[in-house]
This record gives sequence, structure tokens and C-alpha cells, in this order.
Amino acid sequence: MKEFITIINAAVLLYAAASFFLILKKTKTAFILLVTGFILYSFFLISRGWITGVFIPNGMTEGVFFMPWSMTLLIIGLSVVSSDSDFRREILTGIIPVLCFSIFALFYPKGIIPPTPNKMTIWAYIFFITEASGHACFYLGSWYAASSAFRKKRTVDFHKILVWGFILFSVSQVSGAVWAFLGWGSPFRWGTRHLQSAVIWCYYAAYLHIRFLKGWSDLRKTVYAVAGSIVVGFCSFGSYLHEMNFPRIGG
Amino acid sequence: MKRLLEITGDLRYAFRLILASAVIMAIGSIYASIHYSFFNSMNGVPLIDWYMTKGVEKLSITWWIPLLFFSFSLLGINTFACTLNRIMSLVPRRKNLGTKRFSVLISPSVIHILFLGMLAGHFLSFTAVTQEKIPFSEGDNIYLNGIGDVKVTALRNEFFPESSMLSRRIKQTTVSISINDNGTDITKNISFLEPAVIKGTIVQLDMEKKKDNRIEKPSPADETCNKEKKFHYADTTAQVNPQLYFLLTRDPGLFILLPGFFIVIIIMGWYFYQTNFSKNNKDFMENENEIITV
Repeated sequence: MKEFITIINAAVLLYAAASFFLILKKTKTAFILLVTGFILYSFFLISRGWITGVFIPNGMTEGVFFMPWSMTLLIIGLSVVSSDSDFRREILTGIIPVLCFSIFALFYPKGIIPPTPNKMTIWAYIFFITEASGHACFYLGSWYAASSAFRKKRTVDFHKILVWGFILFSVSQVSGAVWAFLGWGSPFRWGTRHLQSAVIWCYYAAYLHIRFLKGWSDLRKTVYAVAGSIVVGFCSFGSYLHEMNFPRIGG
Repeated sequence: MKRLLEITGDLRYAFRLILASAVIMAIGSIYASIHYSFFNSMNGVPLIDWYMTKGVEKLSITWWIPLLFFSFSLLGINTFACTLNRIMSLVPRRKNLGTKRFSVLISPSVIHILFLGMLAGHFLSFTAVTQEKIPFSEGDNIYLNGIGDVKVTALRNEFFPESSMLSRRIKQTTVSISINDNGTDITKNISFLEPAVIKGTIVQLDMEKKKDNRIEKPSPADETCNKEKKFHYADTTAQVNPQLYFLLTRDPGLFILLPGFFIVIIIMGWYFYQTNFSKNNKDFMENENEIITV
């Protein structure tokens, strides 16, 4: 358990160091620190899957912990494919929200909610992975949208990231519906979790229609994209905070 | 007629209606989080029946449900008009556009038609679903509505390994049942997440914890979506045992919803790839979309 906590502490420390070097404009060093932190964070997620003594994927895929990992993976992927150094620096600024979410994960209960038989299915794992990855795209898309509004020039194509987020999130809704059907007999349940997922989906479905609307300036579209992170935060952090009180095993 | 379609299918209305639905659901989610047990009782029963009995008694927390249906109904009309309008402007140009470009450009309309199908599927599901919960034990002979006489021939509980922190917790339960169908005995196995479909009825398992022959239930104020306690038998004695149930679901909406979900995702993924990532199509598609939509 102690080693387990040390790994995530070290990963978050490396993310903080990467942010520091990015501010100093040492892009290469920041990137190396980010990748090292990401590797450690991956070890943390894998060991969380084993926390109970048997491998339970639910431990790896819990949103609070998996979402910052997805964000980092996306940042690393975008940095690797980008050839321009200024552009890469802009992409790497995404470390800052990753650091914020990782710090939240640092103080979050590390144990897992004991899984019930209805929670151990490939559909649930696909749901959690794609939902957290969708959230990661929405947060990063918002971050780059805010950055482009602040700098008054479009750098990272936040629209593409948001579109990917929408696709991943839609996949999560489908896998979640199949899971709910197999587990409880209906693809939609009247409850907070399902309603809030529908809120996020509708918000970004509306976003996809904005580009065809007359009278929406680029700035207005950007503000809408930035506001998306508040919607996602409201819908997901409500559940995270609520689930903090659930009984957990392993910490 | 064309003018009427243009007004009804105006994209600005679509945008506002989607956002209005999102806001209504956000408000509903807050009520659902405060009154978990109350809103959980909506699941598995026809919505209209629930609303006319329980819903109207607590209008102060259920007012948003009819509003949500109204908003989605308007969105359905708007989507229908908008889609029809787009198809009418695209179809005459299909020869000039070529097969691939026409396919890409028509796919949002196909997605919207499927979306209408999904709305209808959800509506059917909400209004026509029925769920029954029938308790049983090993060896029982019981009558299940729509299925007939059933004998529970075997029941196996699988626990997590003793060496793990999850020991004494149920990992899986499998129930074997025998059904007499016109003189022939048919055996079916049912486990958690592995339902059986018998004569159009979905048969699933549910479990509660029984202590001193009484079902242990948290008070409505303490109940949450976390049900792990029901599967934890650290203190299993003759007095503390799992009580199993058959959950019988009949839902005509499922036959629209489940295949619809997958078709929508495939077409949506293909469309976004073509318009955002495929270099040959990107610019052309954007221009075309703007001409057609605006």
C-alpha cells in the first residue's frame, strides 16, 4: 500500500516538475518529465487493479484516476505527431489541467469500491474507459480553446479534440446502455448518473451544430467550447465527491 | 410546404431545444440525487402509470419530467423537418456529387433519422416496459408470467478467493431452471449479466440480503446506487443469507434501441472521419455542408 501511494506521489511530482520546466520554456525537459510521470502513473493504475489481491479492472478504470492518464496520453500523442516546436509547446501546456486533476486524484480514496457481480463485464470496462477518455478530450479541448482565445490566435485544433471526445463519449453511452440492459434489464435508468451523462452528450451534440449556425463568431464558439469543461466538471465531479463516501477496500 | 419545413426545421431551434433538454435533465439529476429511492421507483414501470400515481403527489420535484418530454417532442419534430429539408435538397444533386460524396453528405440525415428512431424507442420503452421481481430458492416450483411453470434445479454461488481482500463476497451466481414447453423440458442457465430470453421475456437475477428471514434494506434516506452490501457475506450464518429473485422484463423498446445504438455509432464515426480527418474530403464536405445546411 505504501509503495502504491509513493508511485502516484512520484508521478504527480514529475507532472509538477514538467509544468515548472514548461514555464521556463524548456520544452524538451518538460516532455521527458511528462513521459516519465506518465509511465509511473501507468504503474500506479496497474497496481490499483491488483489492490485487492485479485486483478479487478474496475480499479484501473475509475474515472478520477483514469481520466488524467487519458489526458496525458493524448498530450503525448499530439506532441509526438507535431513537427513544429512552438506548436508542441502549446500542446504541452495541457500538463497544467493534468496536474490539477492528478492532485485531486492524490487526495481521493485510493481503495476500490467492492465490485458487485453486475459490475464485472467487458461492457462496463469499455464504458469507464471511453467515458473517462471522452471527458479527457472535453477538458483538453476546453483548455486549448481557452488558450487560443487568450492568445487571440488558433494554435491547437480544439475542434478536432472535441469531436473525438464526442465520439468516445457516444461509444461510452452505447456500451453503458448495453451494460445497464444486461445488468438491470433497461438501457436507461432514471437516476443522477444517467441523466448527467445525457446532459454532457446533449451539450456537445449542440456544439456540433454551432458551426452551421449563422451569427456565431469564432470567439463565441470558443467560449461555448470552454464552458463545456464546466458542464463536464459539474456532471462528473458530483459523482466523484458522492462516491468518496462509499465503502472501499484497500485504502 | 417547403417554407413550413424550413421554419419548423430551423437549426437555431434545434440548438436551443438540445440545450433546453440538457438544462432540464441537469435540474432533474439534482432532484434524482437528493431523492434517490423515489426516482429509482420509476425504473421498470410504465412512466405514465408512475407519474399519475407517485409523480403527481410530489409535483414539486417531478415537474421537470413532463417538461423534458415536451422538449424532446419538439426536438423530434424539428429534427424530422430539418432532415426532410436536407434530404430534399441533396437527393436531386446525387448524380453530380458522386456516390462517395453523396454518401458522406447524406449520412448526417441518416444519423438524424436513427436519432428519431432512438427517441421513439425510448418513448416506447418508458411507456410500455414492465418488470416483475419474483423471489425463489433452490428446488422451488414457481409460475412466471408469460413463461409458465419453472423449476429451479440448481443454484451455485461463486465467491472471490479467500486469499483476497474481497473474500466472502459473491463474484457470480448461476441458477439452472427447467421449463416445460409443450411436454418438453428445456434447461436454461441464468447468471448475473447473462440473462435468458424466454418467450420474449428477459429473465435476469437480482439479490437482496436476508437476515432472520427479513430482507435487509437501508432507509430510503441512506440508499444509494452502491449495492455492494447485498453481496457481502462475511457474517454468513443460518440467519444471514442471500435471497435471490428473478427479474422479468418485457420491453418492446429494446428491439429498437439496442441495434439502433450500434448503427448510429458506426455511421457517426465514419462521417466524422470523412469530414474531419480524411484529407480528400474535408474542405469539400465543409463547404457542401454549409451550403446545404444554412
